[in-house]
Amino acid sequence: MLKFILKQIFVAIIQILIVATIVFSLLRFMPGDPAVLALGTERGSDPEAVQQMREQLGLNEPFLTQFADWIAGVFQLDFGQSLFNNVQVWDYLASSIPKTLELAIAAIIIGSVVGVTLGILASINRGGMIDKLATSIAAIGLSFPVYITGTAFVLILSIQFNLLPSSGYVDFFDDPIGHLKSLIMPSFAISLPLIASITRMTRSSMLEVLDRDFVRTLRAKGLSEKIILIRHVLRNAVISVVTVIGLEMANLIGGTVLIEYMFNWSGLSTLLVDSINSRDYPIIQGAVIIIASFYILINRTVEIIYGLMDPRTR
Amino acid sequence: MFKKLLQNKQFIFSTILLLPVFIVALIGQFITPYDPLEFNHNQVLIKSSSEHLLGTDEFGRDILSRLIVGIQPTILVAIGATAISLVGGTIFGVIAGYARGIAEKTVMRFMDIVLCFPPILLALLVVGFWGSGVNNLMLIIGLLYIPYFARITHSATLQVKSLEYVESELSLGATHFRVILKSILPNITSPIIVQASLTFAATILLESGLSFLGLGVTPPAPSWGQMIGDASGYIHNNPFYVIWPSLCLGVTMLAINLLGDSLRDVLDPKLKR
Amino acid sequence: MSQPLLEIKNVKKHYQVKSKNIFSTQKNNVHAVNDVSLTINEGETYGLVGESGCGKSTLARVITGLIKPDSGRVFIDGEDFLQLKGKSLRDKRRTVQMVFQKPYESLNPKMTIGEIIRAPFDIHNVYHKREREEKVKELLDLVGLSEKYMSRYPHEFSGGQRQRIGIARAIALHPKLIICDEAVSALDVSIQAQVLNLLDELQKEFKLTYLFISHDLSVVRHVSDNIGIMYLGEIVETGDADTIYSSPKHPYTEALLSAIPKAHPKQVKTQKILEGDLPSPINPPEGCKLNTRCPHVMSICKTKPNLESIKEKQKVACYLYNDQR
Repeated sequence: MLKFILKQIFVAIIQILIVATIVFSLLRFMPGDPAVLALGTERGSDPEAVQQMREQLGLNEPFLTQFADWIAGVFQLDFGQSLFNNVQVWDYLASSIPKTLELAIAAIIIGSVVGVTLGILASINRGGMIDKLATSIAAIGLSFPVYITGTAFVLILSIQFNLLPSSGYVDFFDDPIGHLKSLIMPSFAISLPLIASITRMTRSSMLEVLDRDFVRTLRAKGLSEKIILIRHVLRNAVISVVTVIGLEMANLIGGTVLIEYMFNWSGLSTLLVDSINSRDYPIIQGAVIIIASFYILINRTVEIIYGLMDPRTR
Repeated sequence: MFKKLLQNKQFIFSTILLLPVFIVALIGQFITPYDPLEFNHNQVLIKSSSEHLLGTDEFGRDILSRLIVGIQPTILVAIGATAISLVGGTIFGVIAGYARGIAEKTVMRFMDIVLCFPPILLALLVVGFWGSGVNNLMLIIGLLYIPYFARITHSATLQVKSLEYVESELSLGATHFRVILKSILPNITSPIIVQASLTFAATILLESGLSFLGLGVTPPAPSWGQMIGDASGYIHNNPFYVIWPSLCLGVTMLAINLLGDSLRDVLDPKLKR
Repeated sequence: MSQPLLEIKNVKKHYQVKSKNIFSTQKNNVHAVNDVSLTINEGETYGLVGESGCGKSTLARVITGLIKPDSGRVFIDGEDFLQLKGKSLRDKRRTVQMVFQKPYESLNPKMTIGEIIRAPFDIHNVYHKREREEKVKELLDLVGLSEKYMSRYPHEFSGGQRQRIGIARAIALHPKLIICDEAVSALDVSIQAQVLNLLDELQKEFKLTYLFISHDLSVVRHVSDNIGIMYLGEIVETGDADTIYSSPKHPYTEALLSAIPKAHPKQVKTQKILEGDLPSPINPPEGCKLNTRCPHVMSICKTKPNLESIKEKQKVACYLYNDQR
């Protein structure tokens, strides 16, 4: 088992290195000279100033040297400085990572709780009203882009009933209740696709178990439906949640990108989109690496949990 | 196969929903009541009126006209990207599954690398720097989805390749080209079609997401995702501005997903959940 | 003596099975076919018998060129088949054809019966387009199927009919040798007889040679002139069918034959049952492969016995009969 976990960690490190390499080289071959960008349009037309800037940014070094320096920095969380001011990239990242994590974790928790509940209710009630309702919610959640459900929330909850703020991030320490209020809509919007997948997965795995012979035996023995359910619910719920999180990770990240932008939530994705627009490439590199690392780490964790639950997949 | 599809209610229903979308995408520019790009500063953000059925946007452009024209780039990108990933993914997947050995390892390792990134991240990067526009989006999104396609065709090929009818062709002395063309490809069409429908949905989602962020289809030409993005800033002034494109995109996505589900149920019963 | 149609000399095929963990990869050899030689003369039917997994099918695939052996040679009509390349290989392939084991997967479900039977003509580009249709009709007629089936798809046919289609495809190019790899094992007994009779008729009509591979001794006896018994990738006994059935020599052959149900109720059964299970081909026993299960095992059985003639028409690889010490 230890070997298996070590292997997953090893794979994760390799993958992060690959991502780092690709991002770095991709940005190097992008059109536009970072030195010119950093200087702005006026001073950027002065070849001498550009040359000086290139020197300062280390752009005149050979590609591999630049890369090695940068990678060495990354492992010490030193991503360099922003092109446009002297702020360290890490400072930007450090202030936005918790905000994105908060959003993602809230979405995962909501998705798991609501999804598992809906899935179980639907499976007990196969063919009934609750089942139909849950299946429809799942179909909508899987089809509608998150910003559409987000818009629907805003229209109803803040414009119609004025219950929640339509956008913006409120710091927890300034206003704890305001913070939670600002968290509700974005996290629910992101979690809807998760709710949908988890509902589907829980429902079908429950139905599958309920059809098995041993359940029939348990029923024949006179055990109550409740005990049978509870005995098998937990395990199946965990499996379906883990599976879905593994499968939906890419969508979840896509969801945070769109929702952060929509709700003005100043997290990693907003940082990334802003810096892409201003072409602040040290920040882009940092943000991409961090996001991709989360993605990779969660995927590896899912593998490990699978391995723990089912030795055959090791 | 076709007969079975026509007996599937879900398939019929989703096709009926999607048909007008495709027709509008095809002939949209000829049926708009107004020029979708024309500014009119006297009639900004009006709701519904006899002149502008669905109201106007922040520049006074007719929302209905923009909706009608706005589906075209999305569908174009989705079709193009799906075609690219289908062709690329099938070629790579079939070669990897058929030739095995080094070819397989190379292809699969390459795919693993692309799969390290969540697709939207790579798309953001590339689009952000190389510029957006329909052609770029098509190409980038198409390339991004090749690995997902290749995974499916690879495993389908492995499965078919071990069957006796492939051996029988080979023992007759058939060329590999003939075996792939006559024995492998016709027998992996079901997973390919199912995967194509999934990819089609995913590419629409990705394109409209990028457009929503302002990194997709280049303004002033409209696309639904971009309209939603622009409109969310005016949600207090004219909520209908955001409601119409959201409804259009939402219903289209729902129909595409239903179509995909029905295709999967009919063509690939093993995948049925 | 005339030249044999098929001559296999010392063919070996090992597969590597990797068992992996992160730090090391262990490679094990599976001895699918281990040093097999056999000769088949024109016009005869050679029955190759053995339990499943003994390497019969691998051997068949070596002969049809689907699998390259690690070593050894395969002569067809005196020509070294494994040395051929390109066009001459393609031409030679016409001499050997195969009828496959599983009627439900040996026909491409996306091709019509016409296309399936025409495939050999298309691949080797023989006959004109219009002639091919005619030939396909002839072939269908030969195997006892109506020509109106041409535009139908395989899933509309029963196992026996499918096997007939497979036979039509195999004889399309007028091959000399047809390998029947468990060609009737998947069929009902009554259908088996029909297909066997068809094979018999075709043999007479076209002077075909069969390599008939099966695990079913009674079927093999019914059709074969000569027989080879395989155990774990090796031929342990070979010879004239009647001789082997009347006086089997190798303990393995004895055990196999005694396991055939007898038709006569009063005939005394002297069952010779082998102890234990078939050893895994991954790490087969050293020497004689039967030494883990043989009732007559001796110390010398730790070394490999050769296949030696003991009678005019019988060869056996066992120290009970060969004095090779």
